[in-house]
Amino acid sequence: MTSPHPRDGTAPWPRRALLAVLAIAALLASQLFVSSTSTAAPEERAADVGPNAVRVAEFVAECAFSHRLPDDPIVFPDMPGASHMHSFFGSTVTDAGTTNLGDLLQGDSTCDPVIDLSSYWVPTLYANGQPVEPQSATFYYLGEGVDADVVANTQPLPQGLKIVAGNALATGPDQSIARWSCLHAGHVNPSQDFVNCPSGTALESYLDFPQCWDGVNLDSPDHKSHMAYPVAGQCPSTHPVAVPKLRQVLRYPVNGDPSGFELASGAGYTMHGDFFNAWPEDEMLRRVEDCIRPVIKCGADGVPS
Amino acid sequence: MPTTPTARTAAAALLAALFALPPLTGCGGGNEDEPREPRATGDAASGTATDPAAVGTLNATDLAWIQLMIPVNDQLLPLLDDVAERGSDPAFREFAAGLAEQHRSELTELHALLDEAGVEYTNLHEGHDMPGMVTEDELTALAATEGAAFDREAKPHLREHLEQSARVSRSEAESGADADATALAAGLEEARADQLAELTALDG
Repeated sequence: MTSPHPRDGTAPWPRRALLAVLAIAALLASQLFVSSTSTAAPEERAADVGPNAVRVAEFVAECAFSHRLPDDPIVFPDMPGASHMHSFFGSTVTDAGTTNLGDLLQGDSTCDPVIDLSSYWVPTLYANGQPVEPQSATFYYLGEGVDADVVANTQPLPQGLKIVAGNALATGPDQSIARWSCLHAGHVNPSQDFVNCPSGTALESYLDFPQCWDGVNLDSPDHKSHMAYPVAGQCPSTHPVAVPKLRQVLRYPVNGDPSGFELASGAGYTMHGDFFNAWPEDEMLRRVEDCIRPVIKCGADGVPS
Repeated sequence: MPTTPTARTAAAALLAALFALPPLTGCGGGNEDEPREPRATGDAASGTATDPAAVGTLNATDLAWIQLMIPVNDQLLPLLDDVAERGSDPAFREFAAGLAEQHRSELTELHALLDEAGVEYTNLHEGHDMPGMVTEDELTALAATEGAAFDREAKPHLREHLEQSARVSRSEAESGADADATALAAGLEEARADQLAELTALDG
């Protein structure tokens, strides 16, 4: 497996823009309160780390393509055919009616580990009108993007949590946190829109999900406001619970001139991802305790790799 | 992670979205190490206060249906007006004119549902390739045809639209929560059945 971490330092995340917005959002919130973060110092756990452990807070799920449907059970629940085309990964049962956690818990999964019954979906990529599915879809769960004290205090993603990342309605690259690059061609500058990957390489898409939860709501009317991106290394007081950051990395078996590429939602900068968490609670907790909080790189099985 | 000062427009859009939202409630406990017992997603069809995606009496399905029907109807109007003006069969012209009137009245009711709930209308499907939605390219292609050929090319688009909007309205009637929205959907599904029968009678 290749690293989930961009190879260069030019990642065009619009973080400053988000900082500004979230700062204002915090002021607007009716209930302002001070968050006194109690920290379990990372050093306490460092003693348990084996000599060969890689000090990156990470565990993964590798999930093969499952199916395609013009459905979106988060944004257009119970309404088959009400969405642009999506490609589904993980849960094999997801359709427009998959609105309850129980639907997923009774299902099956394409993921390694197979115990991850979560559903992940993205707009389908078309190359010259033909659907193209990723050769690999890796869902990284990371303790990064926040200060060490926050990482050490990461909470498990609650079962049933629904998260949407990216902007399906972006009308330009500046409205997007999508990131396209080339696998095995690091010299090609990443972009919010499709890039032209050299022959023999693969087009890849990175998308980071928000990692600060309001601690109460598993969803919200706009499907976004119960989650937030961190501000200056901390989760904002409106969204005080730090959870693992989901990073979706998709690799498509296409390259070359991107003019024939289109997502079901439009241009490359409309890339987005939906996540409906159905990890078993004990498996999620074990990974948070053994991989994220102590900052140890784990594999799909949730043990140091 | 390095940053670049891009996405001012994104910030503006996000900010607008925040203002458009209902006030945030239940901001969670900042001093708790463990998150509180999460609010259950509940049955989306129940439309109760436990549905975190509901706005007032509108559940997520109500919202999805309204925000789909508006752009779907909007997108069809130019075609209906075009047929009403330059269709070659007078009966087809009359059918399209009546259909356009019905679609405009549906749009008024759909927008009223959102207004009542205090939800600002956003086209969630802008630029997306949607089942049953006539595309700009298709409209352009139609504009280049005339006479009987125009009638012939236009009819499958109307049929696809009528069938797809009947389908999603049936879903809304079954899974929506708001009484006005589900009633509108049930009426719309019935109207679509009549409209499809009329279209069939016109050899559509």
